Amino acid sequence: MKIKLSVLSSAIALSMASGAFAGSTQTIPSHQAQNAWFVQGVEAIKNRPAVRGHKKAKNIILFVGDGMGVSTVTAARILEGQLKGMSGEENMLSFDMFPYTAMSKTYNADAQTPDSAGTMTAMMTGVKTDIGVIGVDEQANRGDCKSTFGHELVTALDLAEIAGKSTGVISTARITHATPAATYARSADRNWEDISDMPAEAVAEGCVDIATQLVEYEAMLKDRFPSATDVDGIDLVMGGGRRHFLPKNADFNSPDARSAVEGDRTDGRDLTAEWQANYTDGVYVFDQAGFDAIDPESTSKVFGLFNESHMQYEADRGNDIAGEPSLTEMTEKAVKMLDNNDKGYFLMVESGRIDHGHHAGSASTALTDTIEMAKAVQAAIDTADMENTLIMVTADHSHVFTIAGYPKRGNPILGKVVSVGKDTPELAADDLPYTTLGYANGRGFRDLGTETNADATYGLPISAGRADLTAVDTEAPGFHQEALIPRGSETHAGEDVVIYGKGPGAQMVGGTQEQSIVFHVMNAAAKLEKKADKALRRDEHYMGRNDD
Amino acid sequence: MTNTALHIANGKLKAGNIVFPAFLLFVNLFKKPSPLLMLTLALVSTPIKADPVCTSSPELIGVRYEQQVKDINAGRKTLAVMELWRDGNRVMHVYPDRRLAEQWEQAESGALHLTIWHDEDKQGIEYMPEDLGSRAAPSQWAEKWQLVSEKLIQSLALNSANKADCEATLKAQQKTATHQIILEWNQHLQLPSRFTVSTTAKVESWIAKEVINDPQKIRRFFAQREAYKTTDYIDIGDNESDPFLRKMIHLGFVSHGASGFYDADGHTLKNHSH
Repeated sequence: MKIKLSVLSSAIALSMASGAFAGSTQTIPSHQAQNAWFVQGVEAIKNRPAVRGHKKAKNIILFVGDGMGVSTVTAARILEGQLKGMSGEENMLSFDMFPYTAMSKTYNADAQTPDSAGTMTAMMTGVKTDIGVIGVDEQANRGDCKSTFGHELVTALDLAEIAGKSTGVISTARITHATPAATYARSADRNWEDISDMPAEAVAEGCVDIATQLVEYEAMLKDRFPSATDVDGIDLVMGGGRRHFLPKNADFNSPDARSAVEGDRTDGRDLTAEWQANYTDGVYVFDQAGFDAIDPESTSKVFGLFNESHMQYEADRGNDIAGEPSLTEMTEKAVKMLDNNDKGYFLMVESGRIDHGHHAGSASTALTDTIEMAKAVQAAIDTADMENTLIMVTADHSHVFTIAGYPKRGNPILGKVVSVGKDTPELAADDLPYTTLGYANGRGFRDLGTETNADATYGLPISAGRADLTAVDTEAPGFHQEALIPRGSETHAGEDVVIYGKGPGAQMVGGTQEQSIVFHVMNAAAKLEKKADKALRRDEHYMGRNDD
Repeated sequence: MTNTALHIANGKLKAGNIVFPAFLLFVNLFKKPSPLLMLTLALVSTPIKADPVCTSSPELIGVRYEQQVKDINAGRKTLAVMELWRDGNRVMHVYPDRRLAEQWEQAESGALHLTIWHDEDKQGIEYMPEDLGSRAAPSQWAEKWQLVSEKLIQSLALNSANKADCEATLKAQQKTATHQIILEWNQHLQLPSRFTVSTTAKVESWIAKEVINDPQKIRRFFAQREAYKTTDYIDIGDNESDPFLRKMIHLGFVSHGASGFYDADGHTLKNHSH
């Protein structure tokens, strides 16, 4: 179903009349520039403190905590504080100290509670779209290849590439998963991660799987913008998801393959080899040792695929077969590498498994990954040139994760509720103790002791509802919180998330905004569109002279 | 259809109603043999024909099992069919009645990877080793591959003079006051040819009825399912717009005590803790 934005029609007319961004650029196509969501974002930015007179951002780093709703941030803040020996509540995560914040309305164009594909497309293009589609507007239908033609959107990463900036994408999920994919791909379905995931009809119609779009990003962008001579491909890619880049043939298995046949591709292509052939000066790595060997000052391109599927949870990272870098390590190395370009850089960093920890009903896992993302943000602050760098931290959506009861100050956030002035757990009306943290739905209670892998719960029976926690150590990593409604997987939630901003242009972060505002803040702060347009005009000029 | 199967509870053999064909249960029966049980070995004849057995490679084979129950009052009836298919380091357990198949693979690291194929919807759910916990431990592979634990097989010492005989079947028998369990083991195929549990009321058997050794047919069998669309179990929560995955999540109707594995209609697959 397509949502008609009648309320915004006046804004479109106003924008067209005033000669604002809509329809005035070369790089952003008219169907995007005139899209109601896009125009609304342009107008919203106008209502924020002006960019004019402020320093422009040369570099942009966008952190996305997948599923990092407000309650997740609060609980992670308290947990981090308590791990430091504090009471906890007074602690501040690195991005809590950012000077600007805004509320972000996360709904998709067709969904009250959204998914990552639609939300990240909004953040990367300034256009809200339907659930499940990537890099295309809401006129496209999920799963219908042909319906995307003419509805492809230009992303902030595209603009940065055309403008000659360095670009990077990091995720602890598969690098073809919805959030990272929305930085570089256009797809009628978030699940078309490799060609084996696509219907034959879609392939025949000319749609390309997401992994191929990543490896062929440079060529495909040049096809769209033939005069964009500064485009040189994404400079740094790190994440999981090797399976989508390798043929379905055990001969191509990586040394740390977790499946008998690691690759999924049915077209016989080894995209890791193709990437290395395209970028002979680049480095392909798949483990911690390879990562450690990268010299960020002398390396031009990095392609790191550290896991067959998603990378490990931070709490479980030590158990990986070949070793994986942390989000902090990846972020730090990325900034050191990308800042070698005088024109600046665009970097997207996703903590992709906060979402998965919540889906599994494991607050400990989700919060541990959130704390790790806060560390990565601090690493970016410490490493980047903050005079010239805008850092934004946000989430794509929330989860049905609650902080409840009346625990006393300093009560362990993963513990049972102990009331003010008491030393023993409070009992509910059923005479059983209960935890501060819980889920409105999901798989429910699990006592797995020291198990650090949240996904272990999936092999066990669903046990929603109340359990006797009297003798259970709810602070152990293997404890899964109780859930009210039994489901195979805990769900996203529909409330707003927070956008945090720091650095040049961050003053535009404020108020309650449509999620697509993220693109517009980045665009305005770094003049991405203007610089891309300028690069295109320059290149067309030189190409014209050469033609003469 | 609900199948009647046998399980051990509190050291006693009981009959109960389960949803999932319970062939693999005999793995557990032999896992921790009671000191009260007596194990005897003997050579017996195989219920499957010799020719396909002798020309079959144990690594490229399909075997069709039937579950038969002979009730003292109701007579004999066939309750379920289960197929085991092997191709190299892949083994598939197929349950045609439920239009469901489990495919297990072992990675070089030894860890197990499971895909459950839902034939009705032509979709598969992939479970990574970390999704399966201890059930993906390398030690579990023998039970997937040959349906009984390596520990039991090692206890069935074969007379060296009979090793060349592809028809040779070892017989392991356990008796208690209430029941008798018999396992007939084909050494060449590395599979049970018959498994029987007898009580005073009934005799329940899983019997190998057919051996398939046509390599093309076997590979087609695997390829047919591997062409299905697959989804990681951890990604189901992000894909509720897919009708099949929505059924998997089965909002509000998942009963307590479910196994964590579901068929295409969201029904729990019980007795999955091999």
